[in-house]
This record gives sequence, structure tokens and C-alpha cells, in this order.
Amino acid sequence: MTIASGGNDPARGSNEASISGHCFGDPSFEPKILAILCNWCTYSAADAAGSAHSVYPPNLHIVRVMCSGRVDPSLILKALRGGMDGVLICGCHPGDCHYINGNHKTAFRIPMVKRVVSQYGIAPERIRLEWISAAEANRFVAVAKEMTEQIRDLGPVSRTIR
Amino acid sequence: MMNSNGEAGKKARVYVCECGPIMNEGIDLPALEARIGALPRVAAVTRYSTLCSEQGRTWLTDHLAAHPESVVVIAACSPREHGSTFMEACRKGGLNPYLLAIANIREQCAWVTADRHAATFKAERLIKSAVARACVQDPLPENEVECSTDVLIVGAGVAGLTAAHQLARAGRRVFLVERTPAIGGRVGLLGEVFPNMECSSCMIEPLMDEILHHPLIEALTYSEVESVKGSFGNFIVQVRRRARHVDTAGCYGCRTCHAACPVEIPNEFDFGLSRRNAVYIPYTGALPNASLVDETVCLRFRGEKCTACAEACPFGNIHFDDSDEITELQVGAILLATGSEPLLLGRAAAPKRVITGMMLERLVNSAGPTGGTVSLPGEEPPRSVALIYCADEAGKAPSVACSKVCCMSMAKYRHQLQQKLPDCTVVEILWERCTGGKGYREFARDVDTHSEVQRIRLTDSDRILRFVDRGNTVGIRYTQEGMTAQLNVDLVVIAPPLRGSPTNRELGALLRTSVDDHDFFVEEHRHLKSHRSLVEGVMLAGSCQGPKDVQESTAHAAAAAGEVLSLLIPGRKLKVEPATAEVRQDICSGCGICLATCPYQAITFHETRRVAEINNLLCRSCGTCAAGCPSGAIDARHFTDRQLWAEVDALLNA
Ligand code: FES
Repeated sequence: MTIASGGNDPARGSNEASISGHCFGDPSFEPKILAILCNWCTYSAADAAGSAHSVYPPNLHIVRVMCSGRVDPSLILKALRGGMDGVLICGCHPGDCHYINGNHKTAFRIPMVKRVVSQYGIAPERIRLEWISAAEANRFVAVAKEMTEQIRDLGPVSRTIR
Repeated sequence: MMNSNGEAGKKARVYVCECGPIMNEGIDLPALEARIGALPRVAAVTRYSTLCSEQGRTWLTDHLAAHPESVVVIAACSPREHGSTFMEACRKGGLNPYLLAIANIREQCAWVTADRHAATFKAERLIKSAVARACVQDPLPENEVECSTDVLIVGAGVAGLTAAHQLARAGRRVFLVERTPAIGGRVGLLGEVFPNMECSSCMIEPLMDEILHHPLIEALTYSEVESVKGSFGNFIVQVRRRARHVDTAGCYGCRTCHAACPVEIPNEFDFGLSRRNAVYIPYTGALPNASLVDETVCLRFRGEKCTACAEACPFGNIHFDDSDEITELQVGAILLATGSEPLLLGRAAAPKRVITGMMLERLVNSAGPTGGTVSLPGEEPPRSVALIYCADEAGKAPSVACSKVCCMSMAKYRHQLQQKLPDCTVVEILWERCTGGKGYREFARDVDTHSEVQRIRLTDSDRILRFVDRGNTVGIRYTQEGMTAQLNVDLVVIAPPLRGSPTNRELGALLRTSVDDHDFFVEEHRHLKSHRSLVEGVMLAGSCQGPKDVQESTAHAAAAAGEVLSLLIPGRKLKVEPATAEVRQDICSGCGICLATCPYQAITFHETRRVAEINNLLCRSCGTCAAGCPSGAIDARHFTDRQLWAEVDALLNA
């Protein structure tokens, strides 16, 4: 679970590093956001958002796991290093996890990952943990929109990695 | 970094479902098809109008059979909608279903993206991601194992009896293990049950008789579970059959031996209201109607030479040298029906005039220690009785927990007191009254109209302070609106909330299934699966899971029995979930961290090889252990690190 040095992805064209992580005037920047959702609650919420035809930005891409407890911190680190501008992790509300308490572990792990990434100059806000139940399609959409805008403001992740 | 391009040779066949006109409304399908078709790792793209329809499924099956590709991607609706449909089509078409990856381009793209152009690009990214995943997926074997369809039931109360009866009727062999010498549990001790005041023993005795004589049921009374090995489908359980020292089959329950026994102790089945001998039958009407010798108090087992009972027995049926036996049972499932009991603190011995509801039950019962006379042994019937809801023997009340059955029992006691002691003054001290249930409130109201009562209603800040022993009466000191008050009565009846049987904790440890703070077993799901424990193959029946009345206990037991019937079917093997977690034993450092991450106790530590092992029958595929392993030695099949990264990596490069 380490971040290799460098991380300046030539494919993304920038070797510049910045600590602040703010967008330097590129309004056309389209962030790439990874959303890792647990099968039972938030993935269902996203499906419900679909059935309700609730529009959210196409920047957010969903990867399904059975439980938010499956989210390995190293996957988040690798995604950021690879150029994901933001990672959203969602699971069932505390107490509602389909597997009793997988999300309790997530609740411990994510703050830890946030602390690790800030050591590398990545704004911890690029990682977000939300509990969204299957009934909260609207909240999922709101989070997707809000996070896209937040990450757009932060700018591309590759610029911020020291 | 893991390289998802490792499988360079693999190419995916992509099926795009048009979902009628739906997909094309949101996504430019011809453009998508062209772009996907041009991808290096795509062998072919095929569109179909509705893949989930009956024709669609047949078409897909045939197409898969005719084009054996190693990997397949279906771009369609959510896998939660038709994932299993398409997996089944794969199975039929000769493809291992775990080689299929689904791109959810309806819910996650066509329906939620404002701009058709943008949606087409997003769909492309989602399909690329699914193709990348598909290329690194592994076929998973869909294995089956032999299993036993026999069932062990722990606890022979009304729940255990109901479950045993139901299972045996379906042809299952049942071992019914009961800790006490008699079956019937608490219901066997009751006189009447609310709300219709049905005679309890008349209700349960036919059931008990059937259980004791059923060829498929073996009732092991005075027995306890000693150890449990194995898991769902193949449990190996050792049961200690404590020596009764009386041959049950040869005992006619004549009780001649009881009179000969020099030992006398309070009878726990009457909660100390009567006394019993060292050789005894727990209570009148107890089944099996056979005596037993209690080793813990019998003089013979304390080094004395007493043989009084053996000499008295007209059938020569008492054998002092019998010893405990260990019986080993092989069963497929275990059903826990250990029940509950009032939450007593057992601290301060309460004055003898403070009794629990269960004690009053015994006094009211015509087969009880006083023959149905409501009076403490050797005393006149009380002229005044106080019923204190929710209180324990220290008087402290109300408790936070509500068992909901106690209020109804209190209504029943009022009815019974009115019948048995019409001149007795009855006082009720209560905070609130919970009478939910079919016909319950009607019954409680009926009691309110037909029996006179003085009601002292207290508020949340009021407390019972203590009970004062005054010889022939008992004083209740309590607060009411901040003022201290006292009431003297002849008898106090308390109805503390219920807690799980005190043996639950130990039993839970043997089975590795949890109990809560009140010693109730923890269910898999509060609403949908309250009859299932956290361990696969271990069911919960009745009030060992939470407070229940008879009606609810039997319904719960039937649900648990039904679950066993649908899980273990004679002639059928158990399907082993293919997508479980796996430990790479060459990498495992044996740290044991994963053991704590698993809520289902599916992981054990192999003491000699010093590595973790996962039981595929117990694993529920959440993957939490895989994310928690500090050595990266655990992977979640079908959600492997490599597969998840392949998805993410493809999105990055898309
Ligand atoms: S199943 Fe949703 S967080 Fe565990």
C-alpha cells in the first residue's frame, strides 16, 4: 500500500506539481471520478436514480463491489496515482450493512487513506465517503453533482502529486 | 502496478441490448457499436432488441454455444436487474457464468446523461471497463458437497417442539436436546395463556406426546451441547447426556422413591415455592413422566451410603453407577430454541412476599405446588396484591427494554385473581401498558371492565425505591411526582423484562454466533431473517432471539424449520458459493487480522500450518477480509484486486 514516487502521468501531459491543489483556470477541465459502490445500498440507489431518469454528470463512473468493506485502501491510492481526480466510496448506513458490519471497517479505513494522500500533496477532499441507502437515489445524484463540481475546482490530480 | 493487459491474447464478444427503443433514445447505438467494434480487445459486437425476453435469452444461449469465446460482455441494464438471467444463459450456452461481465449502460448511462453525445462516450467507457474486467476474470467452479439433512434442535420449549414436529413431519430426523429433565419449557409451567385463557397444558401436551413417540425424533432430555465441529451441512455435535440414574423407559412415575429420599431442597421448577427430593420429577405433568436422581444433592454422590430410593423402587429401576454419556451427532443444521427468562438481578434477596409473574403462574396453576390456591405455601391467601409492571426484584423500574408479553401476562393475572380471590384488593403500579397483538387489547380492556383495580400510574421520573419486608406484609416505597409514598400489601408480583436464556452465551461461543447485551441471539436481519443466526446453518427459533409470546414463538419456529427444509433437501447436494474469498497460503503471514474482520466466523486459523483458512460454506463473499489483509494474501473471488483494478485502469485510459 505505497504510492510509487513521481506519479506524473505523461499521458496527462503535466509535470507540474502544486500543493494547493487548485485549478489553474481551466474551466474546460472534465474530472474523472471513480465511484465504488456497495451492491446492496448505494449501487441500488444509483439504479433507482437511473429508473427515475435523474441526470448527473457523465464524469462519474461506477465500479460495483459487494460491500464497501471490500474497498482496499490501495485501490484508492492506485486510482489517484493513475489519474482519477476523485474517488467516491459509498456503502450502506452504519448498522445497515448487508454483511453486518463491513462498513464499520470502511469507516475506519477511509479517514486513514485521506491522511496518507495528504502526505503526498493530494487534497483529501478528493476522497469522499458517503452512506447512501437504496432509498436515497436523490442523495446519490446530489453527491455525484456536488463532487464533480468540487473536483472540477480542485483541478486535475496529476498536477497536485508531489 | 498490476497490468491488466497481461491477457493480451483474450478478446471479448460484446452483446449490446437495445432494451426496445430505450437504449437508442439515450445513446447513439450505431456509433457506439462502431467504436466498440474497433477496439483491439473486442472480437465482435452484436446488438439485440431485448436480451432479457424469452426469445432474447434463447437467442443468447444459442449464440454463446455457437460462438465459444472465452470472455463475454453484455452491455445492458443493471446487473441487479438481469445479472442472474444472463449468467443462467451463459451456463446453458456452455460458458462459465463468471466469465461474463456486465456494463450497466441503461441505469448508469442512457437514463442519467443529459446529452446523447456525452452518453455515447460514457457508454463506450463503461463497456471498455467491462471488457478489461472480462479479460481478467476467471472461471469459477460451481461445486456441490454432500450434506446431512438431520437437524439438531437445542431447547424443547414450545418453539423447539414446534420446529421438531414440523421437521419430523417432513421426514427429517431430529435430535431434540433439552437441558432440563423435562420437555415443554416455560409453556409447560403455565396454567392458562392469554388472550383466550386457553389451558396451557391441554394445548401443549398432545404436541409433547407426539414428539416423545415420533419415530424420527429423539428427545435427549437432561442433556447439553458440549462441542460443535464442522459447519453448515455437516456439523458434528457432541452432546453430554447427563446420567438420570433412573431408566426412563422403565419408570412409570409412581413416585414411591421420592417418599423414601431423605434429601429435601427447594424445587427450582416451582421457583422455590415447593420442595423436592434428590430423586424427583420436576413438576406434576412433566414429560417424560420419569424420575431422575440429582447427583448434585443426592447423599450417595456426597460419599454417603444411602440407597433409600433404590430400595423403595418397586421396579428396581434406579442405577447409581450410571454415568454421563457423550453422544456424537452428525447434522446438517442446528436450530436454537433456548428461550428466555425474566431479567432478575439476583443481587439482594427480595422479601419472600415479592414474587415474579412466573411464580404466580405456578400458584394459579391447579397442577402447581398449591393445587391452584393463590397463597404462599402454608399461608392464608393474600387480601391485597400489587402488580408492578416492568420492575425487577430490587424494585428498580422502568427498565429501558420492553418485552411486550409481560403487560398481557399482568392482565391475565388480574383476570385470574378476580376469579380465584374475588375479595382481594388488586393494585396496579405501572408506567405504561403495551397490549399490541390480535385480540390482546380487547382482552386487556375486558379485564379492565370486569375486575376492579386501583391503578397507580407513574411518570418516567418516578421510581420504585425498594421493597420493605414487614413480616406479614410487604411495603412498596416509590416516588410519585417527586414525593415519596408507601403502600403496604400482602403480596407483590413483579414482571421484569425478559432476557435470553443464561446458557445462550456459552452456546453462542460454541457455535461462534453472537449474543447481544441481553443474551438474546443476534439474527442475520432484524426484519427479513430474524430466524437465521449469523452463522450459516444455525437457525433461531422463538424467544432466544428476542421477547416473544407463544403465538410468535411458534410462528418463528415454523419459519426456522421451513428454512432448514428449504436449505437441506434429501438427495440434493449443497451448492458452494463460488465467489468466496480465498487465502493464498504461501503469502499469508498468519497474523490473524482477517479473523476479526469476518462477521460470519468463516475464517479459522490453522494451528499447524500457521495460516488462515476460509470455509467456503460460511463465507458470504463480502470481501472485507480481502481489503483488510495487510499482506495482500486474501483475494475476493470475482472481485479480485486485479479485476477491480482492470475496471479502474480501463476507465483511466478511456
Ligand atoms: S453491504 Fe453495503 S456497506 Fe456492506
